[in-house]
Amino acid sequence: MGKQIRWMWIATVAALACGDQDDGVGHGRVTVVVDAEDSIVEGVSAGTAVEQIADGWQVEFDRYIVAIGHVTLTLARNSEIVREIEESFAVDLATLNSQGLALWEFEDLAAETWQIEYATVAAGDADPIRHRSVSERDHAALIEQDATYLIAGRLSADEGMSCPPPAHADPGDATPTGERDTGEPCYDNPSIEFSWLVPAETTYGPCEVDGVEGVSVPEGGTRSVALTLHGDHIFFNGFPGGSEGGITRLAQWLADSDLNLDGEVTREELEAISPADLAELDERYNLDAPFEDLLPLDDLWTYVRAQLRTQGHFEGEGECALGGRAHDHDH
Amino acid sequence: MSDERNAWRCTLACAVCLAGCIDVGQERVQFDVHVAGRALDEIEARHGWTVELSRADLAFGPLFLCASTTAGDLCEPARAEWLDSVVVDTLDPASKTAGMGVGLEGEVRSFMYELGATWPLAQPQPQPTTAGEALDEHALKLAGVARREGREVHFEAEVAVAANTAGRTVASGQLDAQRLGADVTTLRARFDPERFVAQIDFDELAGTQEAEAADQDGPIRIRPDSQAHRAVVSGLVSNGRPDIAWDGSAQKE
Repeated sequence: MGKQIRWMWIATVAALACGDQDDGVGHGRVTVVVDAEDSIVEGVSAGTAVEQIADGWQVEFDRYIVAIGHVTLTLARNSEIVREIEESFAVDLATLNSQGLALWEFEDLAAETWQIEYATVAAGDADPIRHRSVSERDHAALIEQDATYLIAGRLSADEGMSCPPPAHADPGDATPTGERDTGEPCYDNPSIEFSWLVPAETTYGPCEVDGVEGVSVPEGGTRSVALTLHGDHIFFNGFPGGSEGGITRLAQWLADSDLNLDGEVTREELEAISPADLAELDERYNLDAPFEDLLPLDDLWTYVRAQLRTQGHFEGEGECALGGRAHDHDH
Repeated sequence: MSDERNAWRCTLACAVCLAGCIDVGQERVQFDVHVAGRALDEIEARHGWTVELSRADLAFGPLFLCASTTAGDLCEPARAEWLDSVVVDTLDPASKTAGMGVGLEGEVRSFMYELGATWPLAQPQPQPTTAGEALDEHALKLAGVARREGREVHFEAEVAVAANTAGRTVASGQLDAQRLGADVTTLRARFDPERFVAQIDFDELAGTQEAEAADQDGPIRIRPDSQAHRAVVSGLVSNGRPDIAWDGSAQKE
């Protein structure tokens, strides 16, 4: 190859690489599914393994409804090329099988790498489409409360006890059956229900798996990717901000929040308790919640909201930057 | 046309094209790090108590600025950092120079920092920073008096905090997106000590045996297993993160 031809070839390749359109590039499709971590479908057992609850409680979820959508793909090499599906859905993650649920289809995408973002949405604003796994009543409740999640389930432990902070406790006629190391009285409470409509609107993305960002679209084919919601973050002893390594799952704090010992923890009870009021939230915990709009973190309802806003992942354990502010595309 | 002339034309074409689509390298930036507190008269605490602080010394730093919207694992590598530490008198609103931050130009959206200790991956436990050592391996030394209806409760606390996992920082925060450029001169971190004590339950603290003894012997020393201690820790790690601002022409995106 002569010098002239060689340089012309280099210039042509460079010019193609610089194009801001996808001209000349093949096309493919992306199917986006919503996927539930096993902790949602199967619950979380008690035990000493990393992903078990370490203080003797187990949890199971009857319903784990989320409003999710606003899926956005941005061409990795040119952030001005954006494809978006605004549509959101209300889905009960507790009913999903291991295949997840395909909800969004992107067609005619350049066969390149695209960044992916999505959102858990406020149902009152987003008016999510009701999936058949969600009852009309629960769908209406989500919208009426402008909630993102409806989570219902129970904690249980054969010898479970609640040790509510004395300054807030309303034990009635209950007789203490023990006490914490720090002296607070404890009461038998082996099964504790919860059913919460929780506002937890959050944007997730760009998402990555092991440092590899986004979705690689195959030429002439379809790539399926999963928006994975985890279900156990409210039992984390911190806000990991990425990898969950080193996290311990604990549930006694929630049992201690049953102030009137009626076997149910309500939103009102969580709103009445400052994190500092619970002796259980000791040096094992780090309360470094990453969301400025949830500060000050002065009650446990806010703590639950903050933990739920960290639950969005990608392709199982892949990580997504957490937004939490108004959804925008100015990035 | 000679081969040589064609080669130059092609080279120019390549250069023009490549310059438009390849990151040709980020400029290094440096900026002063200033710290300050806030002048306070009385703080309104829970249950009608008011608090007057006489000491609130905080061990602050290192500080990392991140391109990602949240800090943590997604902040690797940091866009800019200040690797030193300093004791901040958070009752003094005067701005003081703490050192020099360095990094690369670009947008920052979050930050993370240490308070008196850092826990490197290779270490079995947290290690005190220089500022932490200056506070006897604590993050905060606090003293003050709480008052309500004629009762006074003098108190003092020494509080240590650290990440509960190796390789993580103890605290972080989000920022409105800012662009760091060569013309940014100063990062200002301002702390509000009111947030350190706002959640202390002085009813509970005043009812302790320590409080009764302290009436004769001096201030109550806040115990590590007490509500007051947990309230200060929570105030430090979540509610007490500093307000960050820049001097120079840092541009809001």
